Amino acid sequence: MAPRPELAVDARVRLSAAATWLLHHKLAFRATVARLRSEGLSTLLVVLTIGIALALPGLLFVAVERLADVSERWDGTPRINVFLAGDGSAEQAAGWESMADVAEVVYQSPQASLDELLTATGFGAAMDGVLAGFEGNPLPAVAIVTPTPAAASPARVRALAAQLQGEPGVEGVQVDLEWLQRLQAALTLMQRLTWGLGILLGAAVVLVVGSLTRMAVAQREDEIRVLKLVGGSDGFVLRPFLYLGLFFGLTGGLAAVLLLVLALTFVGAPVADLARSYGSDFRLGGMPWAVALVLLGGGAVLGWLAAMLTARRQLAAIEP
Amino acid sequence: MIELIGVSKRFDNGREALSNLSLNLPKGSLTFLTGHSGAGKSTLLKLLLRMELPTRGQVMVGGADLARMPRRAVPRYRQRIGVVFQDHMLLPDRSVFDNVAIPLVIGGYREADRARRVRAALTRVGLLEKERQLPTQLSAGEQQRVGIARAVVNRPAVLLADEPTGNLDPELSREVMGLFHLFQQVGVTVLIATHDLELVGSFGDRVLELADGRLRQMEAGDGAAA
Repeated sequence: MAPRPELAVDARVRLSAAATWLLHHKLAFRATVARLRSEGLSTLLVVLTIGIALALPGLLFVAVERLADVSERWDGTPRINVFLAGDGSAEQAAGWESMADVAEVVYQSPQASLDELLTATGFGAAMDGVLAGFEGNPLPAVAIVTPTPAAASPARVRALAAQLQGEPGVEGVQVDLEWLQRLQAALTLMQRLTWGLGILLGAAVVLVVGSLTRMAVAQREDEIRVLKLVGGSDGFVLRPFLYLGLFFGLTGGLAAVLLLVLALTFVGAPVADLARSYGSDFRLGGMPWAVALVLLGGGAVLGWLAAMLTARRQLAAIEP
Repeated sequence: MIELIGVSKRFDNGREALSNLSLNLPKGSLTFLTGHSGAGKSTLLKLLLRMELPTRGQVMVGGADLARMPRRAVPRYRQRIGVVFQDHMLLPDRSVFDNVAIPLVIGGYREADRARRVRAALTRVGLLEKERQLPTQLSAGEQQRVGIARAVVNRPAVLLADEPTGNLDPELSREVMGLFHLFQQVGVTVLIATHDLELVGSFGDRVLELADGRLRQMEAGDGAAA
């Protein structure tokens, strides 16, 4: 042992500040991994818990976004079906084209309506018997009114419908707007619910990781005291706990992605079948990359943040 | 190397642990600090480790005034002070080698250098062959020697010891004291708090006795005091 003249640092054998920082990170990371591995099962359970908490809002988000896509791709222009009394007249209907809010009027005679019905249902021959019970064609003449794009808002479409209702020779007016409106309102509600659920479950992740960190710090209070006494800085003693939080957040996010992929695969086929039965080509589809990244990144940030917020205050209070 | 100038320490409960204490420990000296429990030995060591701040006066170590040292500079200061505790304070889940290496890891020594220094320190305390064992597998005397190895592994200029022989039988105590003298001989300033007066008397170093927070007597042994 050579004598040391002063409280000086022997610079030749020491690493640079940055290299020391890296070394500390490497060792803290290794120590965290070793500790987690030694507590295998409980680690796995925590990761799964966080994964489920993150996967739920993720699944809802994907489903709602896909539905929103479909409802937007829907030809947004609503149509007004105006049923005309008796035979109605194509001329009368054509006259409405001069109305300010009307873009186009298509007249459909009773015979054309009947042909359409038979084609659409595919019951051509079978319907003959049913129709024989009627005196002539039971279907009315219809004028299909398309509003101008400027007048496509629900309120103006409704006003136009009311105006057409008041026209002579009009028996009834049907606006096929409501179900779309209801779908969009429901989607907005579901989007809000998704965000709300996401925030609540995100907070749950923070609480879970926070309490785990609190327990880990309490368990290792003696060790922290020793490390501080031999010159460990606040950052040095904090680092393993940050890794712990980051690990739980990141692997929890990964578990959420895997669960989501499983869920989308599992319900994807039945959803497609259901949609097809309604004549829709709606598909849940695969896992969107953006959602996977948000789950991973969000999990990591939440875990790190939870550990940071919990451990920093707790560690400052542990003075040797 | 260690200098106290008019140091008083009064705790929140009004008890004065140290009253107007002044002393000077030159570089390379070995000093025993004795006195009954509650005489202020622990408080003095806590001041030197900057676990406590003096109410009045100056605590100087290696030219630095501890009372005026900012909080963030404390870890770096402690890295240059070796400490031996009565209950050795080893980490039970890490090997002897890893325990001794802690100050070097904190200080940012290269891996090869860490291994070399840890083995040198373990050789010094005669425990090189036990580097892979856990502290709990060692005897009390061996654990204390591991604690000493950790205290000196980064070659501190100052070595502080709080009742280092408190749990040891006389023969082991003598062995441990021999180690402290070895470090003193290579220029380390050593301060040992102990109530083991018999042990103190057998060496003939400088002895400071504290009573009610004051210095009661000062004996200069052969050649140790300035």
